[in-house]
Amino acid sequence: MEKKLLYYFISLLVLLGSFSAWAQQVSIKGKVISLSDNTPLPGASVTIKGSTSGAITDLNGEFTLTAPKSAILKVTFTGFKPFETPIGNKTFIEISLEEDVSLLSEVVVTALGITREKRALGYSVQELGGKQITEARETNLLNALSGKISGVQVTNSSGTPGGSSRVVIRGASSIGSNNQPLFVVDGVPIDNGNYGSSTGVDYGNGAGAINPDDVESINVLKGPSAAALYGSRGANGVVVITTKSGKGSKGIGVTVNSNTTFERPLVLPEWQNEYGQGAAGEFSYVDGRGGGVNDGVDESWGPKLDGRLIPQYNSPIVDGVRQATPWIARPDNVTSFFELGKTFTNNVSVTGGNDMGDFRLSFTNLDQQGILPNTDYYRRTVSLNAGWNLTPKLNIRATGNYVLDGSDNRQALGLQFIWFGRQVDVEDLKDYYTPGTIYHRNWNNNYFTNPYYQMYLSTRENEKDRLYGNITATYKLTDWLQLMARTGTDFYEDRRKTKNAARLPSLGSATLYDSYNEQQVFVRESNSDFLLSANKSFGSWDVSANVGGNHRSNFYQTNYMGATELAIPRVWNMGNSRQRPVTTNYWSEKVINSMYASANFGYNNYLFIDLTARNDWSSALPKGNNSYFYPSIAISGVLTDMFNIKSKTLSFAKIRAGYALVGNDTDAYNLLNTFEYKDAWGTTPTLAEPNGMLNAALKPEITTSFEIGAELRFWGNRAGLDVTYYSQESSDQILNVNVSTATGYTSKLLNAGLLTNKGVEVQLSITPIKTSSFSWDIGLNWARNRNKVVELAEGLDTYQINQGINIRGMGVEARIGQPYGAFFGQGFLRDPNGNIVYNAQGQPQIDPVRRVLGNFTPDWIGGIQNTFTYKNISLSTLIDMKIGGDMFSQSVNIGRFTGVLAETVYGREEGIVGEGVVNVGTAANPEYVPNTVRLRADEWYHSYYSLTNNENTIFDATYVKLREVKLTYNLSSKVIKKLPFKNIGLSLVGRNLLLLHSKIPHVDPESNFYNDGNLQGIENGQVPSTRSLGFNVNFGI
Amino acid sequence: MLHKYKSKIRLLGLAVIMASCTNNFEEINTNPNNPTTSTADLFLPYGIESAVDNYWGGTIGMDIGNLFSQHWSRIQYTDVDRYVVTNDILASGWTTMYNEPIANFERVITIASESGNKNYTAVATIMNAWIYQLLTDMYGDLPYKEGGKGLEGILQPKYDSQKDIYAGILADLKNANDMIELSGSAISGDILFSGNMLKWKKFANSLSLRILVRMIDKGDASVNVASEVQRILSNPTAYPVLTSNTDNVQLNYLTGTPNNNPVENNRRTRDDHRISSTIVEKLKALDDPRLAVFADKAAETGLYTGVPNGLTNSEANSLGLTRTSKVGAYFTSATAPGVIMSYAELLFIKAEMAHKGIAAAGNASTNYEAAITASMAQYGLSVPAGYLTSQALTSGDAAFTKIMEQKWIALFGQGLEAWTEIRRTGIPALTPPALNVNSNIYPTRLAYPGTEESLNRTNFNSALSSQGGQNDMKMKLWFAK
Repeated sequence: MEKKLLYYFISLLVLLGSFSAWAQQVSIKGKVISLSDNTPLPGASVTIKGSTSGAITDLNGEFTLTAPKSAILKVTFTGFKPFETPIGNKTFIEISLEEDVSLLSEVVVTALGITREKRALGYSVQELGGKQITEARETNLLNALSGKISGVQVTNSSGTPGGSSRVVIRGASSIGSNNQPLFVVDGVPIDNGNYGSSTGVDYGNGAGAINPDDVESINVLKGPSAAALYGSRGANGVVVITTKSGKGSKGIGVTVNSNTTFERPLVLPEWQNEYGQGAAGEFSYVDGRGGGVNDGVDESWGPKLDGRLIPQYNSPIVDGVRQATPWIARPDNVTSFFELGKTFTNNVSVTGGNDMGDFRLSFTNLDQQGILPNTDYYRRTVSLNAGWNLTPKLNIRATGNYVLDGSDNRQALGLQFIWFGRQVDVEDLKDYYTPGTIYHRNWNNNYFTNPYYQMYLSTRENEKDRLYGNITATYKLTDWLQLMARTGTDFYEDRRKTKNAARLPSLGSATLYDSYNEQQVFVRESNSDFLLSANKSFGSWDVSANVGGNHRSNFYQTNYMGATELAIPRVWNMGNSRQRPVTTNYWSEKVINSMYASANFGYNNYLFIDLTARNDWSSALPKGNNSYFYPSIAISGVLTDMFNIKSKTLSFAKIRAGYALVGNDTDAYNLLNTFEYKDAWGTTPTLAEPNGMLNAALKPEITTSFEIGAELRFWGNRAGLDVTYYSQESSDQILNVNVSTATGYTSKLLNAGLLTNKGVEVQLSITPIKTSSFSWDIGLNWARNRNKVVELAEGLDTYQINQGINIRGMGVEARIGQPYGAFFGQGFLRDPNGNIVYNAQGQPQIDPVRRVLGNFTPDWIGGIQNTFTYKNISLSTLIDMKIGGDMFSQSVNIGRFTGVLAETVYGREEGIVGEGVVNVGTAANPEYVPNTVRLRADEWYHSYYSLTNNENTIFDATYVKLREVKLTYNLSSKVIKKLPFKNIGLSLVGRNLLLLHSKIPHVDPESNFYNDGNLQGIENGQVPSTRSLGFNVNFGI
Repeated sequence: MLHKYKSKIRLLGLAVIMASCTNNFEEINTNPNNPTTSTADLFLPYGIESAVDNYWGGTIGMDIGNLFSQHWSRIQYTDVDRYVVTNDILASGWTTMYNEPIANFERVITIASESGNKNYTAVATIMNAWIYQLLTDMYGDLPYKEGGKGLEGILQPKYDSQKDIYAGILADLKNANDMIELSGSAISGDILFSGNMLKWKKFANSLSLRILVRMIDKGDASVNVASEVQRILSNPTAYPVLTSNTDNVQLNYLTGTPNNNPVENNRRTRDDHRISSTIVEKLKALDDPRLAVFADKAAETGLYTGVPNGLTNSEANSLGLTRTSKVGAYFTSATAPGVIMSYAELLFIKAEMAHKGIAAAGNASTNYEAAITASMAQYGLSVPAGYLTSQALTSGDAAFTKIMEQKWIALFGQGLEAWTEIRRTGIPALTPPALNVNSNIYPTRLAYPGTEESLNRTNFNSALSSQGGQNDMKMKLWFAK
């Protein structure tokens, strides 16, 4: 690795050597033209670099001046990219200026909020402007990144309003800890936690609640090189968010944005509508729990839905006798359960500014109604960003965001309609009380609760107050030296209420009493930092250097109270508990102190060297071993300038290389074991040994990364290509290693293991057509990451990601030699030719030897964005794809087991002969002959789609989605002039419009039951993802 | 100019201060939520309760034990009754026992060795002996000497053979019995015997007899069964055993959650079990009064109707929840005891020993009749007239069959012990259900959980090869070979 670096470094130095200069005055003539169409550029400024002398081009774009031979000419012209060229021996110079299409002279916000010119960076960053996220918007800001930035994989967990999303950049770098990037808003990190959301209720992730209306730009620092200054938080990249301010505004301005969208489920299972509830073709209702004929069964292997008369749960009872009523199909019974989702977002902001300062005050109201009955989400955001020049040297800026968000219900239904009788009239279930009781009325009394009763009475509520922001003071010590001091915080309190209404007091699943719990989660992250920055030019060298320090503290507290039985029905209060409520609480604290420095050297604005260093001292690590050093180096060169390449084809070429070492720290209290509290035995207090063994010698996880890249622009920006190759090694993984439970413990915390990520990221932009009124822009991004688990702890060849979570006995694992996220479980027993082996009864056999059945890590991800602009109308589309990676789908497998899915009609009347073989020999000397045993349909489906066979549950989760379509019309300036507005824009917007390609039936291949944690690729009846359509209106006054 | 440098120096000073501000880190990183040191008595209640809960309730007790022994059957979610044993069930027997009781009793032993109270050491040793007996009965060879030693750094413990485990437990129990000081330091937190150390001695020695009867037919046993029985039964002062039902080793559950009987707790939300028709038919044939204790009358019919083991869900469903007999209220009440070992069982053990010629165990017939009497008395019943006469022991195999059938009835509720004894003796001869998935073989053991295969593979593989079988429910264990 180091040798490679040295090689690149020396190569660049050799290139440098070929440029020499000597002082001799010459007269020089020249012409400045536009690179794209060769037309002369009058009025361009031509100066000798480092002096004040120069000239302005005439009407023909020509100029004359006198200068030393060693001088460098600097040409600038509004709307074009500045250009520098040495004079040398030339007497006439034709200078082709390239149009400034933002990127090349783009200033980007990098680590610690330091703004840099993009051309000077030695690593990959990619930016997204605010408009790209506010027009076709998502409630969760992170979803806006999907398909737009190469190498960034976004997983939208479910269609739960206010639900969470997971972002992973360049693959997983940590086996057992955090794999999501650090989120930084206006230079200060914020919390992206999703505390306690693993229980089937999704309370959303921290960064997802950032209000898109207040976002100026999102800049993704993809790899450790870009994130090196974040040290022990840099391993997963950084998402740098800059909020809008009033900078640059003159006087007072008001802007209004209003967005309305409507949501429907994107994918719902395709049901069969030929057979109803029951077993073996028979059904008759008495009590819904086995009293009749198969009436306790929650499967659809019953009689044909041909209108025959059968007593049903809602059949009228005459003289104590339940009447038989028509047994008919209800094709829309599930679809009609889902309601039209609605999302209204309205934003008003006021900006103002003058020479002394600026401000922006914004209020946003978001109200969302979910697609499940009685679910919603709301978010109100007040944001203030204000700066003031107290003296010409001292500027103070404060940003503050107050967010109140929550939901009256985040309940999900789970697999309710997968275990189902297809004849059930769901409309009828709206009448959900059993008359004269507090209990529900339902089609089945063994397993499920009436879905409406559940949605309306067993609610999951929360409300969260959050404040994040910072105060920054910047003092200019001299014209080249400034000091910045900043303090920021992000804290919130989330109050959650979980209500479970009592269910039927039956012989079956009986919960006689309501139960209730309340949880408060308090989270605070505070950062205070300072940064001393110097910028100075020395001849051909531009040097900037930064020295700084940061003090960070994290605090977390949760209080939980639970009443398992309430005395008085539907009075949700702890005082109403029949027994002493269960209470627990927990708090933790962690501090990290850091010092860091960076130095950037620019030579002639075409060769750049970046060095960074950071040292972190963490309270979570053992004494004497809590200090870790994280360095990086990056080198880049703009070849077109370096070699003075003037080509109409190749307008810009830059290469870059970087090396970095970053970390991933551990949580508080991971060093020493403590005892657990258990329920007292009567009044005898009890403690117990914990199940996990901690480790007093823990170290942070270390990721070393090497990346090289190139950025090329052709035909004056009509086409651009940015390619990055990276190779990362993440070692000293902090693994809560499962150990043989015969040790007395289930796990031990260890530093062990190695995970590698190697990949390529490509961004391509093309403008095939560009005329004065019409343009077509194509943006394409593609990323392929090869993730591999190379080593685990000694003696271990696998590590379970689903620790403590049962997924039908299957392990979701990091296995040596495989990518992260292997599905390891039971599959069919097969003969040497791969045929499924059946037993003598005609049932497929399960192989007792467990094996790898799939993996959730995709092969590659990408997106294609097309934008067509005609005058002031623009149409843009985004196609987003993930190729490869598997999904474990409970809905599909169980739906086939229960006979509710369309394909289970096959074989109903005649039975099924499973395709495969039977061993008619012995176990030692097998002899396989084709299976000929015909099984009754339900028996065949039950055995083929056995719930202990994981193989049938796993599918290729490849998808291609039409992620976004946006049609925007901005009123022309002629019209605007006549109106009291500065601008008016109208858009029709659609998100997640179509699933263009999928290899998994019935469900969306993207979503995930376990929200934004490391356990991915699991479908378990979560709220379906939604297709959204709507419109956006904005105007400024 | 100078003031600029001053400010730089100040900054540098600030930097140094920040970096060195790590003095309070240990305090910050001390977990304020849970204790790091404690006393032995606080670990006893959970150790005992978690073991009995798992053994008596949970899927191990209620499904593996009570279904395999055909004491109970399932009317909903019948998979396990057809021997579909998922990895979760396999893991729950293994993991729960090692992680909860064993780890906690290891902690008690550690603390007691520091405090010097040997009675705690003895109690923890006896409990672990019982738990290892349960574990090896279920799984066969497993980590015993190296089991529960994770904190000592043994992360891949070696397996011991069942033969060695039984011998080891026997030695442990003798040591524990000898270690107990009846007038020594008191113990607290003892939710089994309230600190009565004599009862712990009785438990230790009675358990020793249970282990010895496992070895009774094994020519390769490493202890002399007859002389060990002699050691215990001929010296009641040094080696007391259970002498009446009041000595029964049982956890008396309390009324409310979370200290209620785990079966009752299960019945609060589930109604998946019924009494098995196998035992119902047997009790009806014997006209045995225990039927009314073991089973409730079906709600709708008022009859004692058992459910056959291993039906499909729909077959079971069609029998109707209200037309079949639930497990008796005696067993499903909150305060129903979780029986570890009964006086009746001890008498049956002695009956078998006597039948097989161990003089110290006394007379087979006397023990047998006393055992039936004790079993009925355990439920407040007296033996009906003529019962003992009609069921009197004859001789030879017929007599042994009677002893074991009556023992099977007496072990109702203690399904795991019943299952083990059926596997050891083949009595009663139970038929696997028609739709079983174990090739019509009565389950010989539980397979090792997947975690052992993946996390302790070398030892797992060598244990299978030394036992000569696959990791399934068909491989015979040492006691049944």
